[in-house]
Amino acid sequence: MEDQLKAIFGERSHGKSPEEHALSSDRIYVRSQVQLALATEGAKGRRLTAYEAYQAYGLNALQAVALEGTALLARRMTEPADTLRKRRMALGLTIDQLAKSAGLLASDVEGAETVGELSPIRHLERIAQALALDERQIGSVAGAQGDERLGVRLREISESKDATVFSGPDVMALAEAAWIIAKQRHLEQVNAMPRRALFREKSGDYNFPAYEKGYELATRTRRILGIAPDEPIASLKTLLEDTLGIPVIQQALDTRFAGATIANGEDRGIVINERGRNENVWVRRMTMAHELCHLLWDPDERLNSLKADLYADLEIRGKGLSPSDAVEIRANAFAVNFLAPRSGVERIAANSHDITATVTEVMVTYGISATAAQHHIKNILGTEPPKKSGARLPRPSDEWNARENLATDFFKPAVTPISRRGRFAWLVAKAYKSGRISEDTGAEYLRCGVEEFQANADLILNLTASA
Amino acid sequence: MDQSSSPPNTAQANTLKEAAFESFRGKYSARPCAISLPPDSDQLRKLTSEDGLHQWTPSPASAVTVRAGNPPIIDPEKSKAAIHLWVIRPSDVVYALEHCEFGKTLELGVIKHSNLTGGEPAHSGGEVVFVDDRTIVVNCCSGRYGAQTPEELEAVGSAFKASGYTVWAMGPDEETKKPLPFGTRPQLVED
Repeated sequence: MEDQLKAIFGERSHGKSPEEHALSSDRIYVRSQVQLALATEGAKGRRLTAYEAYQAYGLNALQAVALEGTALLARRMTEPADTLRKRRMALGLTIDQLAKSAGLLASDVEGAETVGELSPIRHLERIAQALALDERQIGSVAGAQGDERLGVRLREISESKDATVFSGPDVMALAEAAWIIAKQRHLEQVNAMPRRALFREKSGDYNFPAYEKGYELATRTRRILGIAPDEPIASLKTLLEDTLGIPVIQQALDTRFAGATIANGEDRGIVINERGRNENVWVRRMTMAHELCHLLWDPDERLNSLKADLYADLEIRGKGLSPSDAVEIRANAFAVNFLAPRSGVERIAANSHDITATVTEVMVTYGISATAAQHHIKNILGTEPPKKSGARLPRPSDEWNARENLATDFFKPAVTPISRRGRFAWLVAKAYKSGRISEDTGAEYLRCGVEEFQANADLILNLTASA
Repeated sequence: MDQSSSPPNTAQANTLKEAAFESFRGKYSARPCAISLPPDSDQLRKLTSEDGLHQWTPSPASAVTVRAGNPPIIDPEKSKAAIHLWVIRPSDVVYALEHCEFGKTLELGVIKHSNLTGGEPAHSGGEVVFVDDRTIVVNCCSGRYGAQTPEELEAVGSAFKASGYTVWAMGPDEETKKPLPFGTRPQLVED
């Protein structure tokens, strides 16, 4: 076995298992649309480390490369054309929309969808990412691990009766977010990070008063996570991603949207709109907490593959008019009580000289917006605070912005889209530094040049680690 | 494109074929089997005509009309049973079905190019599918004798064409720097 593994992975490889040999191998592979080979000078395809190639294509393929010089990946003539075309149509997208999202020409997409046509692997990967498919499997596995339910859901929202709600660009942005969510979870696995299980227990109780249910769930969540009753949550993004293992993706969506939860296969994540009111970090924290409630506590059948929330949904209060309103009321109440626990608000109120000071103190202590603070205080104390003019309300300090934005605002390379910064970028850099992915792959994931990626990999690791 | 021509007689055809492959041999010397195999490996067991080894003969085709815009795309999976391995040996050109009865007796279940040479040096090797009795699709995929350069790939196509066939050839895969396997659109080999 050892001899066989050395024959595959090279004399310098070592270990007790194929995985260990792959990780210690210095061999670099290259793939095209149709086959895998050892990389040589001038080969223009996607370069992969031995570990990457092993993870994606298995030992048999690498053995074929060792013995025959190549491993055939595209065994079916109809791939990847069929998968790409069917997926695009399943999502209800035009060729032009897909091309724009993938940063390609329409003719590139047409070529990729034509049986028998040979396309650059980098084009195929870009298209696959835009369609929330596993780009490593494109051409070699029919369907490329695409989540059909997500595809159906994306199409549903693109064909919604109100045609202005989800535009083609919105659908594309959500599809890309779905890809990032799945890839982020994959990178955690690649980096040998344990998969953290979300709460098993769900709650379908939205009965009146739904906001009290939200308060209870928030208190319970804080207790489960070991957060002290009055303790502020310094960085909700860090809590979600590091503690709970929930990817949080910032995307550019229509300004009506606040956020969404997305399931891609077994992987769930949260999408936060970087546009609109979320530009205020305190509002963004409420959005994240609202989506967190859906993800942690809503039954799966209600959550579906994609659930999007408008900014208007985050403001629903009172008795509500429909079952869906009760769901949002509960999530809103969860959000505000999770961030600004009732006991903490009561303590602040007891030590404040007036209600206005209470509002201000709650805002700056717990990092929530004025609107959220005012409603929260009214619910807890039964007293409606007077409306303060915007000029006299506190704004998020630099510290609040830094705690939630550090890994995105000061990110390098600057060309990396905001959706791929933060923890995703950190995982990419970590995988690269440990030889689990190539610089070619890392650069592609962060949408920058190879040299730029290599030059900034350490910075990414340090910046995000300190966020 | 119309490539009509008068049908050559057998002697003429054989002469043309030999000239074509001799020209190839002159440019691309025989090289050792690229894979080191133990002497007792059954991948070195040499096929005979009784085992299904064929000599390459000129196409029996007469006039040929070729539509360049209609390439026969070979599905690697569906056409598995029709794929032949070919080798340009120092003195002849041979081919045999990859999935043949002889191959089933071997450890891998299929023959390799080294079964056509006994592990001896050869000038080139690859795969071929007969579309009909006058048309072939050829590639240069062989872990043992595969083409080393795009020029060699081109020369292989020309040599087979000179033997009287309409030849569609799989070209080079620029992304891996290897010959392209079947599965995508081949190119018509023209004069």
